[in-house]
Amino acid sequence: MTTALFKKERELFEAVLELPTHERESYLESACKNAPELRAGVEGLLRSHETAADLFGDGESDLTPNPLNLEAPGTRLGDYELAELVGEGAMGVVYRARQLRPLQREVAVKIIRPGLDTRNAIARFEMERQALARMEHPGIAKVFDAGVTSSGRPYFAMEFISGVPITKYCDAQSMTVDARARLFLKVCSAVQHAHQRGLIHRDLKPSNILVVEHDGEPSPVVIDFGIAKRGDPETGAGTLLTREGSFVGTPDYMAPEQTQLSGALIDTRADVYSLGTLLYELLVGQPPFVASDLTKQTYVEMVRIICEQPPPKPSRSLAVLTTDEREQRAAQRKTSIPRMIRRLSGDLDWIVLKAMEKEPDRRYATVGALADDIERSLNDLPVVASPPSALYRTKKFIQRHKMGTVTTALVLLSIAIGTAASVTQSIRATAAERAAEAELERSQRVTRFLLSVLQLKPSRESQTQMKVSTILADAEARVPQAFADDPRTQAEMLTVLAKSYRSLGSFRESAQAAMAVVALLKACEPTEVEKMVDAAVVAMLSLGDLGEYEEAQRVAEDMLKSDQIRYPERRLLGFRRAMSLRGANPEGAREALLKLVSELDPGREESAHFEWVYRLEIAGIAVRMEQWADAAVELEPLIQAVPDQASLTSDQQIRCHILLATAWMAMGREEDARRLLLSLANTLEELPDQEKLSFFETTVQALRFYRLLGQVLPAAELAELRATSDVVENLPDKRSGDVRWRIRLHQSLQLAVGLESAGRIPEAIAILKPFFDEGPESIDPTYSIVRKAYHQLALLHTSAGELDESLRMLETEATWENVADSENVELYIALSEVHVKRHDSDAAVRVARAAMGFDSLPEGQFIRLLALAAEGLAQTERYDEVRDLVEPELEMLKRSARHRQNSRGVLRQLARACDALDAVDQAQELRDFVRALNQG
Amino acid sequence: MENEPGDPSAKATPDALLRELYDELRLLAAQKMSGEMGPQTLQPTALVHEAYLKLADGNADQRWNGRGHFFASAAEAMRRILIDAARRKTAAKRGARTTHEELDENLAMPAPPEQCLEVGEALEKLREVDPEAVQLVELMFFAGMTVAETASLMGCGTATVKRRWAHARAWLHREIEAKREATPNPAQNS
Repeated sequence: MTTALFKKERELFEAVLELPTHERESYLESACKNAPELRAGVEGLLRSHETAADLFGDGESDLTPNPLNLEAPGTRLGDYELAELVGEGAMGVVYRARQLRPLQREVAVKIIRPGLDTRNAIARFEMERQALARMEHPGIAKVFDAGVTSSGRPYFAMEFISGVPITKYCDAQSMTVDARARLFLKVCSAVQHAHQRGLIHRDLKPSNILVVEHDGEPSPVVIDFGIAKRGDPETGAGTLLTREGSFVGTPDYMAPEQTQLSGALIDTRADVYSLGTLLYELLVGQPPFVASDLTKQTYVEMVRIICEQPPPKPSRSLAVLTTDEREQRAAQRKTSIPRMIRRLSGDLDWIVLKAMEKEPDRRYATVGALADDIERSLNDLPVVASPPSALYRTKKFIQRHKMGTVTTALVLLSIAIGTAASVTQSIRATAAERAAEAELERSQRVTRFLLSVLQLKPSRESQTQMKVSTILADAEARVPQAFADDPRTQAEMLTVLAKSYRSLGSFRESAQAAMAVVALLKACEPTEVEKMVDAAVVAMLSLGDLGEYEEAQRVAEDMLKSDQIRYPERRLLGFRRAMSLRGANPEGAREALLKLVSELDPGREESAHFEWVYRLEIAGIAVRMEQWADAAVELEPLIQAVPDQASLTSDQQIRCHILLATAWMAMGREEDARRLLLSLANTLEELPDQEKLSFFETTVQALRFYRLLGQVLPAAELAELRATSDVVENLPDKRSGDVRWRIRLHQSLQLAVGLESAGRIPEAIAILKPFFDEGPESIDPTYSIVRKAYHQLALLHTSAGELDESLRMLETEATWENVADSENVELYIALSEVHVKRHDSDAAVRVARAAMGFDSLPEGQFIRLLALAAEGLAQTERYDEVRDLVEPELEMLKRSARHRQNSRGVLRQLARACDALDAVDQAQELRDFVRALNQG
Repeated sequence: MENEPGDPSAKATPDALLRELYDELRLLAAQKMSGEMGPQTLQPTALVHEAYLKLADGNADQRWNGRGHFFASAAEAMRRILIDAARRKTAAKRGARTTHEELDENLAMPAPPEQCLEVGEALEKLREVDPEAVQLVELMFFAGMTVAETASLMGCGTATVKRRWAHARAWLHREIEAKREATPNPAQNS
């Protein structure tokens, strides 16, 4: 059966099924006039439909898929007689029921989901019941009673809410915008009550807020605290009492922090966020990210949208609708479209956006504060929420970037908690109960400690200054004391810190912490070899990053002396040791790797894999030593025989191709290299988006790849390659937010750099230009790749002598905000260079001097600026100024001239100035100095 | 553990995840069998939900692209378990005995074993033309999800799920009927 026929059949079948029986025949007749096969197919389906229910059960009733599972209507549970099933959550099922004694009334009975009666689940279910029992608010369903079914499943009886979801209610009643806001205030009051009694709901959404009428007045009731969590009523901070996966909640209403691992820092402000989205939907009729359709996104993209994409203002959100839909929305609010937009813009926009701020600190601190602001708006008072200022936007940008690293650290820290918990579990299974309790106590101490570190509340002023490194340093200082009697836990905490430091690039601190772990664990009996080796590897990696290879080797050798270290750890340490030999002693590293290969146990499944990896490193060393033929001999079999595709990262296979192409190029086998690179280009095209992005973001390999391509490919083939990878022709989507667009940009930037290094400037320009041809307003400079590529294009225009174009682009760059100093300096250098080339000497000198005033400027950049300023001055024959500018830096220039061409250029510039100023001796001395360097 | 480059444990493939889930579900079932409550009928839905809570409680959830991905995979694993069990059950009738027997006895099959096998075969045919429909059948038939759960997991409305379910059901039924007619001596004996 073809897919086309299948779809046609399905369409027709579904259409016919909607019709009353007596109309079906004639409808089919007319729909299948010339398609007897289609008609026979659909008729077959309709016949099957009648009997299929016998085989599959009828899925018609929404809530009874598997009647075996559930209590039948009429079942008695204590004083309650169950009627029908009315709802289902992750934890339990809810029935409408009748209470028979002592009084007769309608109730809801929630029973833990059949089969879910594990201790963990029961504890969580019990927690919900207890929490609800503490509530006394008309907006929260009351709990009457609790019990256990005959099969041992816990249940509780509560107030039966026969209401409709709040959004549906408002639409059905055609409530005005103001009436909706007033109704929303009642929801706030209920949620605030829960918060004050230490319960965070965490899954507030329209379907969990039902509206019932009391004396004709609508009254919302919040239900389903199934994923609620207990908070501290004093501070509102949540504890880690429940650690369900990151995916609790419904994406449309989920706060950014709820998308993060284990929800370590979730507090009442997550509910403030969800209430913000609810208010949003009540006001305009759709949730904030409706245009992105969160449920259709990959998890990663969904998290990105929730955490980064600002929601559109409510007043602007109607823009995505058709005119008919807009009119319907207005009618449901008894108003016109322009009036509705006017009512929403201003206060209500800002209130919603403040409640929905990405960072909890920027939201209303409490639900009460949110409610106050809405009341003010309803009473035409000025509101607390206000449009963000430019200063605030800048801060937010900084914070967003800090948040990235904070998140990394949090992930690492929560992994530590995870390890502690798993230790607990395994010990509980094997050892006596007392040991288990000690472990549990220990894991709780770890948790408390981490929380105490993370809850470091920075003072108001220094909020944006809170850095992860500060948190880590604080934690490190407190570890020895907090776990004085427990070296193992100390070691575990320090391991996490060592890894966190590493991820922040603080290699010194990382190495120190990791070595401290090794020392601590060595003193423990019995030794936990795996953990010790783990720490040793971290120490070695960090020492390697510091360039302290000898120290790294010492760590490995010291470990290898112990006879407690056995095969897998021995192999790992040996490999790391060989890698740290690589820089200073490549021959030694190669020998060590060869020895490792010979020592691999052929009986082990993974040995083939490690042999491949080690041989790749051996070849890498040969390439480094420019022993091309040796490298090729190693690499050719590796390309042929990949042991198990799945076990190698695409990165390693790509590296293997690039190394071989490099070797072949050097050996003059250009044709082979070209073919290999083209096949790699095709492979790259087929990688999944995320892997592709990570390949192009780890620029070392990508840069090599495109350098090589730029060298080997003639123009025609390059054009062909571009066409097949539709770099230019079919930009997937011209929004910077689109991941495929950014991949293309990465790819094209690398290719352009490759072409530039081969001197092929016009082709490089042709590749980058299409990305920016929609004018400056379509460029989103918050992405670093966008800034990089745009800057590169400007530089290419400079190289091509297209100075007007280049100047225009650089001036656009100058308007971008929140750019790091280092990038700004690059911009100034490029600008000054263009001015020099345009013989606009004054401007060149002014720009260069301005940039020289930046704090802590790296030497290389300083010298480039100095060269540009000197050249600008020389253009207008202001030689005395050249001398005044350069002479104070003479010592630094002479020192750096050993390895910097730019310094020699400046010295020559100074010599020329001395000539003009008749300081002949000094000029001669400078020239001799430079000549000596050039010859030596 | 800091992975050295290319450590095979560094990256789990989808197939490995599925295998892990398959094992996890069987393990859970076995644990329940030997638990305090004594042998009881095991509901696929309950097993799948419990596996979710268990895996989501650890760090494992990082490898699942959220709830939807988990349940889709779990439903597929459940289908494999049930079809395997059905295969063993029909084989057992012909005299072979297997170690899985006790577990198989207590696993609630969505239909008699012969029919499960037929559905499994027809499902492979359906996959050729509409893989999404296969996922829907796995969720609703094999994992016993409700219409509402299936809708939220597949990211569409309940009305769509109902329509697609009615169609997939009829389609599979028609396929099975056709096969039964074409086979002169069907294994089917109910």
